Amino acid sequence: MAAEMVMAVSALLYLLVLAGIGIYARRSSDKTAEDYFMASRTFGPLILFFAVFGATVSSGSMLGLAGYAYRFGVGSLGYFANISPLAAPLLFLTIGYRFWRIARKHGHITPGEIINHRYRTKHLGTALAVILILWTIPYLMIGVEGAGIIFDVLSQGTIPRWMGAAFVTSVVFIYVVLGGMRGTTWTNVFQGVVMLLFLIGGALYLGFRLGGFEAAIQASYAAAPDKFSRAAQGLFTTKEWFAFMLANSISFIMYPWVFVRLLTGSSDLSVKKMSTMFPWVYFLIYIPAIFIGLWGIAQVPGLAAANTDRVFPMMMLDLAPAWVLGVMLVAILSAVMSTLDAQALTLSSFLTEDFLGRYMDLDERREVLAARGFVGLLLLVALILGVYTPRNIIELAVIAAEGVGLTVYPMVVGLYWRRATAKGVWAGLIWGFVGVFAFQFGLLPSAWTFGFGPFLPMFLTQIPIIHGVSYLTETPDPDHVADYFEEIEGFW
Amino acid sequence: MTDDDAVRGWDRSAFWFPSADRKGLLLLVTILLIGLHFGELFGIHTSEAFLFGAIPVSVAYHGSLIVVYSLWIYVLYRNWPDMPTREEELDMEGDA
Repeated sequence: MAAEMVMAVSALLYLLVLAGIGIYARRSSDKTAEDYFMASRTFGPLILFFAVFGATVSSGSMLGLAGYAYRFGVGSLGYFANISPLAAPLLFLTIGYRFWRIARKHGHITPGEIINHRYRTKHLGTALAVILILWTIPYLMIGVEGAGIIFDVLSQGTIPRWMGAAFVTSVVFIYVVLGGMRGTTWTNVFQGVVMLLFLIGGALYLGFRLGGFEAAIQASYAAAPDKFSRAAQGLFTTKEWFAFMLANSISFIMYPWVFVRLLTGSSDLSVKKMSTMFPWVYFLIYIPAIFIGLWGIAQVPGLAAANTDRVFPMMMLDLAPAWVLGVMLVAILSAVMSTLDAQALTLSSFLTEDFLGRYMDLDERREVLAARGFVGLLLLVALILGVYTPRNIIELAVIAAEGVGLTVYPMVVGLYWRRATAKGVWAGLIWGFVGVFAFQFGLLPSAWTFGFGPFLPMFLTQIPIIHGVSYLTETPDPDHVADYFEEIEGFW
Repeated sequence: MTDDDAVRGWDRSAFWFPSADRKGLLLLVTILLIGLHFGELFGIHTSEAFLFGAIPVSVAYHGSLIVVYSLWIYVLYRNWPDMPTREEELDMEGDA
């Protein structure tokens, strides 16, 4: 009873802090769409870092990674970190910076606006927005699922998954609606610090409670030695290793909530400095999570499938005093909500800028109201799907990464290749979406991926399709292309 | 630049295009570092050994790689081409 009381008070205090930040942010905002969705592009490097960090580190990192390490062993770190600590900041410094310049000059808020401007189209951006919204839904589900798990496990079933998930999504809705980008980013700073401190502190605590790091890992090795060799786990073949590396590292920059946050940087220095800080996230977050999962092999035997995501909270429930459980609850909620709010806000900006602003004549007040309604709808859909999904957190992340990854080349090609045309990009975008969707949902046989998974064959075929159709269709307006490249040429 | 030139070809000032100067070397090292992700080149994928009895070799290897990648990003940051500040750009636009 004391533990439940501590957790309830911790959660309540935490949520009050978030609501307070949301209210303060609302008072500080300019009440314009630019300020609501982009905080008027005023974020310096540290705030920008926490904006991207908070949006990125979700229950997938705190719970899902530990669960994956528990299930599949030592290969999990290399598989999930892969080259992302190199690729993500490199893409920020190159592709991301070019997008940042273009968006700043023309006042773009969404990838849809950027692509419409590049190709002088009206509907291409809308199609891109639809695809990105659809592939974000699995990520929303990750957050919801994580929220449900943490309440369910720490309350030992008193608070069922659906109730915990519903409570968290309701709070997210409130402070996203109130504070917009400014509110969500300020909360991300708070949440990011909490997440980092708890994950590192939690891992150190568990390690010592388990008799030291050597004793903890050796106990797991004795229980399941096959999990301590990557080769013994059939999942991590060289083909799958390569294919996921490509999908995961490339797709990162096109996650809508990452992309839009990148655009909020106040200067090129913000983008550059944030890029150099960002790779350390992988070290600080992934390594503790992986160790926790590996230790859990011996400590919490018998978890399978989607239940492996429970290994971290279950270990803490067994070993930690009530006040630590309260902190854990806050930390996991931070991870869940920092990403959920970023995703919800970003997708509502897509609705406003890529749908309402393009096809309807609404005043700004009604656009912001519609955006808020859409946030509510998205969170409700994610809540229903997330509570009842049979898939675990990491499986959902993989599905989404592959889908988002196939929007990268259509989006990026126009930054570097002058001859790209709207029809070429349309063809590539549709090809990528339909193909990966068909593979993921069994409409095309997996044998056609030759062991690489859906992403690689679709990505490799998407590129010649974009270039081929571009060459077969009319040349873009040379003056427009020249003006466009004048803004970005000479930068990496 | 003619109209044909305006819609022809790639922007070769980009990082992704190797050239004889320092940018080519940076790109080459980046590609080599990506290759290190494949621990099977060094037998990491079959190893069940531990460092200090507590860190599986695979985890130590990929954890170290994260550090190496993070340091390399700093090198790239230091080698990024200089660009005008916003104030300088606005001045240039004003002059134009």
